Amino acid sequence: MNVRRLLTGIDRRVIYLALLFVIVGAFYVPLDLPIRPAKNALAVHERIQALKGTGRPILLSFDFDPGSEAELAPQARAVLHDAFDAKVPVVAMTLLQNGQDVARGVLNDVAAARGAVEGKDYVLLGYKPGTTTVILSMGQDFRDAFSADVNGRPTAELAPTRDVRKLADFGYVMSFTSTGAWESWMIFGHERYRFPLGLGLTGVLAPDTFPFIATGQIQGMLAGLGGAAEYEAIVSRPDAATRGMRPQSAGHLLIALFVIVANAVYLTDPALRAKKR
Amino acid sequence: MKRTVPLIVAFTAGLFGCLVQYVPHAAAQDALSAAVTWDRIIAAFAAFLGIGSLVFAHVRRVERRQAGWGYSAVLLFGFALMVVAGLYNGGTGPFAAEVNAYPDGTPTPMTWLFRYVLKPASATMFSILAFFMASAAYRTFRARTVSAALLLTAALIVMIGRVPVGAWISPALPELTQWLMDVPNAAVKRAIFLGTGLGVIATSLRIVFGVERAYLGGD
Amino acid sequence: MPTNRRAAPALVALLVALALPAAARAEPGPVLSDYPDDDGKALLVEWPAPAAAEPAGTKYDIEIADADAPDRTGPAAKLPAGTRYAEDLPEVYGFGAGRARYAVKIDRAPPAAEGDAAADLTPGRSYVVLLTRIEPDGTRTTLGRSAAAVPKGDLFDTRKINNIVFLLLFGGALVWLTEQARRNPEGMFVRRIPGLEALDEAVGRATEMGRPVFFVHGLAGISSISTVAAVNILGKVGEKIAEYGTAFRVTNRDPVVMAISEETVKESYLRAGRPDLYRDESIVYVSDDQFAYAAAVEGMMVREKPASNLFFGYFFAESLLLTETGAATGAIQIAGTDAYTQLPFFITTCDYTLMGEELYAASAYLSRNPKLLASLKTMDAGKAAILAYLLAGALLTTLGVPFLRNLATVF
Repeated sequence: MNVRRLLTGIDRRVIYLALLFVIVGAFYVPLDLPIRPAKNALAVHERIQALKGTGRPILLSFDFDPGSEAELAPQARAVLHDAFDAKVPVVAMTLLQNGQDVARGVLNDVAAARGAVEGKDYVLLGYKPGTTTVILSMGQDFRDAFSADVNGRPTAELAPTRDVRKLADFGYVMSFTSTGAWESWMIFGHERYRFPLGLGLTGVLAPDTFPFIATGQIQGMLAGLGGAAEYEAIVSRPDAATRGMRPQSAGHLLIALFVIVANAVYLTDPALRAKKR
Repeated sequence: MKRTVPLIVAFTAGLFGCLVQYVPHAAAQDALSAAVTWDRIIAAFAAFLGIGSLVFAHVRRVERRQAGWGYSAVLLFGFALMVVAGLYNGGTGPFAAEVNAYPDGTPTPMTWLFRYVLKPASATMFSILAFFMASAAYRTFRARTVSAALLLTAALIVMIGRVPVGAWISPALPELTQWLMDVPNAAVKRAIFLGTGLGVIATSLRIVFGVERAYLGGD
Repeated sequence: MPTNRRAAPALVALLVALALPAAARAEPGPVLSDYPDDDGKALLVEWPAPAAAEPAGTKYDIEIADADAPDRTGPAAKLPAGTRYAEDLPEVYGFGAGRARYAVKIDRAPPAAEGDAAADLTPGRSYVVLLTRIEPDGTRTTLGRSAAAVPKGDLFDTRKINNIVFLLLFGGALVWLTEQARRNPEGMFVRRIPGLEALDEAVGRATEMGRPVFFVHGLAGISSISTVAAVNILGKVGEKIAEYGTAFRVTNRDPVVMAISEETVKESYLRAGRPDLYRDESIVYVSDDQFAYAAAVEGMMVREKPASNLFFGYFFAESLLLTETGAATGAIQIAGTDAYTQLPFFITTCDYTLMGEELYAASAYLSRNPKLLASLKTMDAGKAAILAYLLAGALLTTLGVPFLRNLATVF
């Protein structure tokens, strides 16, 4: 049996099975991995802590659908815990029609755990179509964009939104998204209305934001499930994201191993190198 | 007329959108707010356009028994089920505020369908990515040239450095990963954004001045 | 009158001596003015900052009132001492304004009645502010009440002059190069883009194999430039498809894009002289949900086994799902996107990939229209100019001359 040919010709179903086995198995391996919060995750925490005692609310936009919930909901949960800890009022909304139920689920869970009261400690505004136009509308006149919360109560009467007239009145705005909504928040939100903007993104979107973090246009960013685990470490509340670090690490190691093995065979086999792709 | 009116609208709207950026006066900003409100209304109506097209296309496929018509029938059934559940709204009807659960806590049919059908289906599709990524990486990531080898090395460092096992292997890995993201990655992304930004400006100017007419459906 | 002359200087000296302690005791008051370059709903409060460092815990409290009712004040701003100087508002004072003065933008009006929420300032209405310093032990010292000022809306935002100059230069270059292209269209060189050259090959392959061509739109709407570029390419591909009589499928995630795609493909068939071959059911609206779209298109690929897959537009996570499935069915795949996060997946699974601006160049490349070629050249000229500016600006800033850096600041 030609080992080289075997190693470069593994059926994709074998790869799928190997990945499945490693990821599921990693859940049962008792290994505590060190989680070191990155500076961008710490920046989010600092922003929220700076609002302690000021009465200014934060706006959390749940711009993701159920497909990305596994990666972004843990980020939102950890940030909500931090905000409730610091007694910062929370205003939640979504720019995606499937995001409303996700937002409701996360808010209910964390509020129940922290004894937070809807209408007093947090408000869910719900969904409005239009992404960019909603952001522009909120920037011009918040009450025009959201005159009532998802339960029909006027935003002018609810404690967290009583003093909010435009986006700049929020102490911090954070968008959790797996779509291009982050660009809309930055270009049409932060650049026009000058409020501090943070992001919670899926891992694949995070690299796009580093130039804007360097220029200070984005103040804080959580990247993927790893970012959620970092934030759980910051607020000392290990949860789903921390548990997910073992299987994620195992999966990454396996993929790296596949790539290294395939390249080792490729580089040592002149016939393979000569073959065009 | 069919071509001229849209071109005039595009020119006027483009010029307005541009000018309003430079005029901070409340009158200009109020006009922008009004335009934005109109845009939101139009965006909402566009949803009906899509629904109509979807239903029409699949009904026709079922009527003509075209290949795959069974899937169209399933789609139409699912569509009808969600519409009825949404209009039912937990017994309160379509004009009441959204009801997610009955007083005893059980989810309404709409919420049940969303939580136990749509959510797992979406999560499953997203999860397939991990397997496809592993397969694609194994099949095609080869160090064929020097630049490909550099790319591969950076990819491996970032892949391991971004997860806690990287810090467990060596504290230098997360540091190197952060440097790769902060310096080379940010530099290249900046260059790319500058280029695409110019492309967006050029294409936008072409659309505003009527040179680019693809959005009208042809030249 | 010698006695008076001798008395006068003494009198002046006495007055100065009396006045000096008073001057030393006099507190600096606030100056209120209209905030520049705004919609008329903000005012600017300035007051001199003490030369000596202020004790930690010192704060300033600014209250605002209508000039008609100066005693009914409402909160405008509260700030710790040592923050918010003139240098923090370069859009008002320019760069390097220093810390000799505090400068605070206020945009809250006094409440109409007790307990009311804050409201916006009203343009044209007269306001005054009261400035108080709060010592660390809580003692409040009134520093003064300002003269009345009226917030006014401005017709032009002078902070954006740099922006408008760039736009005019870019637009001017576009006009000039368009004229050059009109006079000498052969002189406009565009390098070869393999992905666009391969479109003919993709359609030809599908025709030979008797299998369809799939054109998969991205997730963005028609407002996205990449979607506009994709529709351009669709038009050219549609013409080829009509010529060869190949089966064709165009999948859409946005209903507006679908309507535009229908018109585009119809026009293409008409231009090719084969309007009889056009089928409405070729243009399919699938779903606006990301993964429902991906699942449906994958299902179509597995069932219909297209010979060629063309992916153009803005894609998200579903890109790899689509291309990996397409690769598994053995199709030739050409992709074009400006979604840089998805490019690695397209490059590994597709035969040809158009990256970013190559996609924007498609309409000019395929049509060889002089106006479109000119806009390509303008983009290149713009990039060259920006490169020169960056190099010069970086060099000057390193040498301690931040002029070019400050000139490019966006406020």
